[in-house]
Amino acid sequence: MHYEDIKQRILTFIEKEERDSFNSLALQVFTYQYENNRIYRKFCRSRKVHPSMVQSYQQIPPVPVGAFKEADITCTLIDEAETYFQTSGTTSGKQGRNYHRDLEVWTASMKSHFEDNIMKDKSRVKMAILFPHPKEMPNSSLSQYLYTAIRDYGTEDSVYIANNGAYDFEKLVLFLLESERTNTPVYLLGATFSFIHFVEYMRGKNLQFQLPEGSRLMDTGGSKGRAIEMSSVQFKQMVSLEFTLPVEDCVNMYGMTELSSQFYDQSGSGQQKAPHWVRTVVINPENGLCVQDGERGILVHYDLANFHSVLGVMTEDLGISKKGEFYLLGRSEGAEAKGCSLAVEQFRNGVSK
Amino acid sequence: MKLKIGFVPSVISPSYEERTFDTLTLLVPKLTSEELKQVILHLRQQQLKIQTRKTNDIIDILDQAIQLWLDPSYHYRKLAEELLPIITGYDSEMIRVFLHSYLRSFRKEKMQRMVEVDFPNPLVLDDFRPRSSGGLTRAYGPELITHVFSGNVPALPLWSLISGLLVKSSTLGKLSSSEPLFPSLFVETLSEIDRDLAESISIVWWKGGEEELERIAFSSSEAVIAYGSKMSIDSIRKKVPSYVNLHAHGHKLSAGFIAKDCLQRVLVTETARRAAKDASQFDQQACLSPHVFFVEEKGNVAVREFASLLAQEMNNYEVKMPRARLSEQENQAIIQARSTFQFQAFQTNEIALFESEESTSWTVVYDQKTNLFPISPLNRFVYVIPVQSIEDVPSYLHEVRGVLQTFGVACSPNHFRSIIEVLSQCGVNRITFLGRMGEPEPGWHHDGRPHLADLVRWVDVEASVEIEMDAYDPNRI
Repeated sequence: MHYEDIKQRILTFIEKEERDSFNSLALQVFTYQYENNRIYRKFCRSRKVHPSMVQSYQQIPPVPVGAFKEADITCTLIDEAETYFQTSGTTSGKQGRNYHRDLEVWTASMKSHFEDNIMKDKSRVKMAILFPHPKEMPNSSLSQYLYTAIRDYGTEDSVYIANNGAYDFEKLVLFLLESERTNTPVYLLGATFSFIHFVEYMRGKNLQFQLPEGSRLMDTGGSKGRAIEMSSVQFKQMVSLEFTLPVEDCVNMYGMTELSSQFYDQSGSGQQKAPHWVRTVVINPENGLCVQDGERGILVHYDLANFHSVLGVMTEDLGISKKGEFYLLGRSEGAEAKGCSLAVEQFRNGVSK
Repeated sequence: MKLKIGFVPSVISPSYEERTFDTLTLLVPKLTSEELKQVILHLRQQQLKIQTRKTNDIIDILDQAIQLWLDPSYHYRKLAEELLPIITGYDSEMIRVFLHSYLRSFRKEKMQRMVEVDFPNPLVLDDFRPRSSGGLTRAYGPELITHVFSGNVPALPLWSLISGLLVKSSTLGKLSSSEPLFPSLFVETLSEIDRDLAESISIVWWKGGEEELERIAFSSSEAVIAYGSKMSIDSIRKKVPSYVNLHAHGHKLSAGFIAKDCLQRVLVTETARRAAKDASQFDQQACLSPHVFFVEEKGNVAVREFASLLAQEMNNYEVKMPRARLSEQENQAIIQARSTFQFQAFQTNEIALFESEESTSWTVVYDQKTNLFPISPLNRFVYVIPVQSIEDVPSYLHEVRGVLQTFGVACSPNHFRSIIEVLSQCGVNRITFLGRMGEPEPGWHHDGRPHLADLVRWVDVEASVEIEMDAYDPNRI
């Protein structure tokens, strides 16, 4: 199938859901990827899977996220790709790339789900972004995401708080005071840890805000591994208190560089709302099979919008699926084995100290 | 099923905490500070009694206990064989085979050897003996040893338990949360044979890191023997007072070396079988389990082909003795490591991945690219690295020198000397033949140190006493 052809089908599907076609479209995307993605084809062969054998999307071999660090997993010639998004590579030092021949589908995916979950019935809102602009981080998918938000849904007086690698919290304070004074609802969007730092800053200056009704806050990325760690529930309670926002207007976004769609947690329960072009299955890592409804396992996302690389991605995240919804329980790190041996990270860290 | 374990003297009646393993609930004694102090007092009194015993007599009693345990129909042995697979998740056959060969290494002759390796004249443990240089000397074990047992390999605590008894110390044993059964059962056996000796031992439990109890235990002991992760050892080290000797056995790394002579067509399968045994036994959880085999090139079989033979043998072992079920994190670690190598292998033939199908049961990675010691995520995940000769191996070991322990080697008589010399220069402290890595011989220098000699305190009575005291002899002429 031709590139433009498959792209149009996905765009149509994102625009208008025809419930029963996820599976058939997934099989077409899989065939396209099998034919055009050399590394993925090798992976499928090692799993002894060929498109002719697959009837259901769950049979499509998902690629472990770590693999993006080892190889260019792409259906596009790298030179022909408009851009790529790169992982932060904080733990291993290696960075993975997800190439995009163009951002049409990525943008359609982002916008459609963003409108449904963040904008609701609004068309444009005054926004403050607590994350660098794509000029500073051209290969960050989050930067591109937030840029799309402010560009297509922000009013003209929306602002970036981060500049040249530093956060201008004074600017944010003025922004919030202005919003209180004029009673203009605002959206605060950014990385979880930036909000945590800002709250620290507020507390240091004895500040607290009462944001006008209709304001919202969206964080992403979590705080694990940062100087201050807190659960998603703790975070929501904190920001809800400090900005005087109803808890349901503090939304968490879960996304990853290796995918082309996002999930939103409105309730704080860990329940992640996926768009209709994404299906999530929970597997038992021991044998790769789907677990029973309600059992813990590793999350595998099948994202049709991710057609430039692979539609099935096996995460390192633990979760539970209940009646078609899935709940994120946190990251399953390659934990220290119980035995009398050294964990890799622990050891290498020890050596480098 | 519920079972009360641990071993506490009748002077206290502590509360018990439940520890659940699947269908089994073990009740472990959880002492208050006051109870722990009473126990320590009791152990000290008991130590005075066993202090007067002869080491040989203690060996005889321990041997009786071992003889009972070597009988497959002995009730505690049967109980251990039934419950250890539930507690540890290890395959029952693997446990059965290991227990038998392990217990054999504590027979009377083996314990005598343990003593004589460290004390050429074992009588110094019983009495003052003359020194060849003049004067007298005697070796005293610590009055009380606190043992922080590990649980990664069942029955392993027997090493330190018996070491303490051989130097006539009393024992405060802290059970591991992951395998609290074996030490408790063994002490029950001792108490059936010799109540007094058993009463010099208490087996209790607390959560690792518990400030008050650890402070009391460590400061009341003359020595602390601890097994565990770097983190738990570091935490223990902070609490052991400077006047108490700490014998810490932290995590270690082990590996193998296979010389090209052992890749001859008729022998290569046997070599692979031995390597698979070492890499599979106890799911690689022991400090003496190999992470990697360095294999010499230019043998009859290419090293990559050897890796695939090893994979077949790993599979055979898995069929006979399946690996334990893993936690999500442990599985995840294997999946991550596999995907790293698999996607590298798609791009270079310097790397190859051999893996069990539709499971994480075993993995062999052939890696010609790395120049570092590869650290395995364990649970039957082993690396094969081709080398030109043993001379190439030291560069891989340099970085891990301080934590190296066992090397399993496969070689012919022609090259064995150069191999052991190179390895021992690199910080390795135990060299065994391939296939024997999991079974250290009695009297081994665990982590390069003597077992018993490190525990004792010597009392020297100098020749001057013998000579000068005569001047004050009331019967002098």
